[in-house]
Amino acid sequence: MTPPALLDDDLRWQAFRYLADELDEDGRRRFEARLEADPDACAALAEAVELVASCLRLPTPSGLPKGSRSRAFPVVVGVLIAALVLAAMGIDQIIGLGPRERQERGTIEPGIAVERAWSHLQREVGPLDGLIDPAEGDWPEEETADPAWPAGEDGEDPEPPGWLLVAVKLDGGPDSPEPQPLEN
Amino acid sequence: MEPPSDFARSGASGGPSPGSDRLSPTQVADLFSEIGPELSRFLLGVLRNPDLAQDALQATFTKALERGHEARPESLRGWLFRVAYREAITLRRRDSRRHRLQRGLAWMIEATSEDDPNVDDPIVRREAVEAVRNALDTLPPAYLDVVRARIYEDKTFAQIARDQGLPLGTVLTRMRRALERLSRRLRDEELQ
Repeated sequence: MTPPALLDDDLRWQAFRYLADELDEDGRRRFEARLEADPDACAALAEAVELVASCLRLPTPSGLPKGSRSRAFPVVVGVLIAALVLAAMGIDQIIGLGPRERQERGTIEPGIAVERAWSHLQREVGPLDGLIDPAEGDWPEEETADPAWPAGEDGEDPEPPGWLLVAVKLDGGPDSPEPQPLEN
Repeated sequence: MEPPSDFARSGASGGPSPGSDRLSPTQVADLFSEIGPELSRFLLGVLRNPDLAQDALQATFTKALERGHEARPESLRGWLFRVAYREAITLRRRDSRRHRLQRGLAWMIEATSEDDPNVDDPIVRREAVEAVRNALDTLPPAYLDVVRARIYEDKTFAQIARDQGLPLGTVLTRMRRALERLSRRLRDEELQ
């Protein structure tokens, strides 16, 4: 796969036009066919998203006001940020191991490691209810700073992401059901 | 951006799950940490809906747990993109009755907060914002006008050409040149 620095400028331009809906129907179909088979096209689209999103994080050039913004939006942003905190954290933080535990990592059951990871994540970023059901309620901005939220207390724990649950199932021992064959 | 390291079957990040060749949860967590943000951006570009993109991301990493070991380590990133794309298309079709696919960039304008550009989040990395800010500062005013109209105001190239009294080709060229400069600055930032 081509490193991002070597992606073709034509490909970048196609990706931007796809993102901005500036391709005609045929061009859009061809680009999507390429997305299915070419990781470089996928990387170019990811880069276009980051570039546009970066622009939009900045004040409008020449100071013109931006379009109106929905106040319902912070819920969605909160969900994204919460989910992607996962990605931003280093693996040691995700797994939540100290130096000694890190040395012994090979002896830790993967299922336990996943449970620890999730508990640690809850302690680090607070309740992730919005991750489970973003449609309900507003994303509480102060929630992550609330030190009174202990993992495993106060009744219901938020559900971990689907792939973590699958990880526990897959590695939970002989009683774990085998996953069904997948189509991909 | 570095290509992903060789996770699979190396044992360097916890090794495969006991009794199977599957990637271990630790290895998948490594993948999630390393490639998750880029996959998220990609999925947003395909789905134009943060909720659906999140669902597709979760489904992709679930498949990584179940089937990721079938990919060659050196092609794992490409494998993840393929899986992510298929998940995205499946979700898009399933959701098409409820939500029409968003057109243009209006959804990104809605979905991008300008309140605090210093907040680090993997979709919009702080260093990327800074790189773009620096690049925008150096764009000629004529390029900047097109960027502003296309990205911030979500006008089509045809509208911009009409508004600015320019041939469509000129508008396209200015936007393309501007994007090349912004991308170059973004890549320079990544290489540092």
